[in-house]
Amino acid sequence: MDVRDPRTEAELRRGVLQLVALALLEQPRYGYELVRLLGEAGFDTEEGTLYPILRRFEDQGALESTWDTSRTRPRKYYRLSDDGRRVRQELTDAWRRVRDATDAALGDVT
Amino acid sequence: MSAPVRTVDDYLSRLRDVLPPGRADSVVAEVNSLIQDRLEDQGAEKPTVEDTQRALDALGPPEALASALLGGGTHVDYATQRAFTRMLAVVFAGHLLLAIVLTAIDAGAALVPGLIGALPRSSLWSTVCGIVGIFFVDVGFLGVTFLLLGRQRVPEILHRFRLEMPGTRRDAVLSLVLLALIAVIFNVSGFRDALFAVGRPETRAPILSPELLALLPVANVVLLLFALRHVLLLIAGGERVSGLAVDGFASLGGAVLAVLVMTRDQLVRIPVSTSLSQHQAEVFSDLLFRVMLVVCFVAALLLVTRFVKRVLRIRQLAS
Repeated sequence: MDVRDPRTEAELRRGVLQLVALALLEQPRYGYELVRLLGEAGFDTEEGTLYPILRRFEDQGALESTWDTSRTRPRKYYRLSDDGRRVRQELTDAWRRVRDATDAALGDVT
Repeated sequence: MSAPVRTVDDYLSRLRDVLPPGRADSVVAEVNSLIQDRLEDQGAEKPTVEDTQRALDALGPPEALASALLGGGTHVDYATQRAFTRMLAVVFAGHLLLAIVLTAIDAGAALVPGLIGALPRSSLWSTVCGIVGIFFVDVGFLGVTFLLLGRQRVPEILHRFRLEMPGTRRDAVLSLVLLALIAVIFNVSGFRDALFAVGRPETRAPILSPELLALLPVANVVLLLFALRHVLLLIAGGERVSGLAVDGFASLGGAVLAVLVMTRDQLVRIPVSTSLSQHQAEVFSDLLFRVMLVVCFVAALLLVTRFVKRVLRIRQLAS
C-alpha cells in the first residue's frame, strides 16, 4: 500500500525553490524559461508561484532585470545582482546547515 | 477580438483591478509576457481557449496572484480592501445623489424609511449629519454583504464593477432600434393608448394617468441622450470620453426620471366598468402603482450607479 502524500515532498522542494531559482539566475533568463529549467531540475513549479518570488527578489535588489525589445514580443530577463550573489551564498550556507542537521537527525534511517 | 485574446484581456483586467495603480502597468506587462511565453512553448500557432486557460491556470486566480505579490494583510488582503473601497465609492455616491434629488424635488415621504430619503434641511449641521448618516449606512450595508459573500468570493466580483463602458457597433444598432421602438410606443398616442389599456375591445380605456404622461418630455430627453450615446458608439466603434459623458448624463437623467415617477401621486388609473367594480379598480391601480414603484426604485439605483461609474471612468482616462 502506497501511503506517500505527494504534497509532503512538494512542500520540501518548495522550501528550497528560491535558492535553486537564484542558482539558475547566474545567467540572464526569462520567467517561463526559469519555470522550465526548474521543472527539468526536479522542482516542478508554475508561474503563479515563481513570479511573486522573482518580483520580491527584484524589489529587494537581489535581481536585476532588462526588457529585450529586439524581438517581436518584448521579454523580461532576470539575472543575479551583486546583492543577489550574496543572498544566494547566505541561503546556500543556510541550506547546508539544515541539510547537515537533518542528516544527523535521521541517523541511520534509510 | 478572438475568444482566447478576450480571455487573456479579462484576466489581465481583473489583475489590474486589484493592484495599486503605481505597480499595475509593470506587473500586467510582465504577467502578459509569462502567458505569451507559455502559449508559445505549447506550440500552438493559434492558441485555443483551452490552451489559454491552461496558461492562466498556471498563474492562478488574478486576485490570489495580486495577494502573493503584495503580501496578504494581517486581517484583510489588498484585493478585498480594493473591492470594498470601489464598491463603497459607487454605492455612497449613488445613495447621496438619490438623496440630493429627493431633497431638490421636495419629496415628502422617504423612499425607504430610515435608509433612503431626502436630506434634512433644518440647518447646515443637520444636512451634514444626514450625509454622514448615508455614509455609515452604506459602510454597514457593504460590510454585511462582504461578510455574507465571504472574503474569498468578494474580489471575484470586483471585476463586475469595472469602469469600462462596453459596447460594439452591433450593440449600438440594436439599442437604437429598441430606443426608437420605445419612443414610438410612448409618443404616438394611438400605440400608447392601445397598449396601456384595459377592458373589452369596445370599451378599452387607457390607464396611464395624466400625471405620468406629463413626464413624457423628460422621458424623451433621456431617450434622446441614450440614442446619442449609441450614435457616438456607432461612429467611434469603441469607448470614448464623449460617449462616456453623454451616457453619464443620460443615466443621471434616467435616474431623475425614475425618482419623478416614484413621487407622482397617481401613475395608473383603472376605470370602473361592467367587469370591474370601484373597489376592484382601486385595488388593481394600487397594485400596479406598487409594482411600478419597485421597478422605478431599482432603475434609479442602477442608473445612479451607472452615472457614478461613468464619472470615475472619465476621471481614470483623464489621469
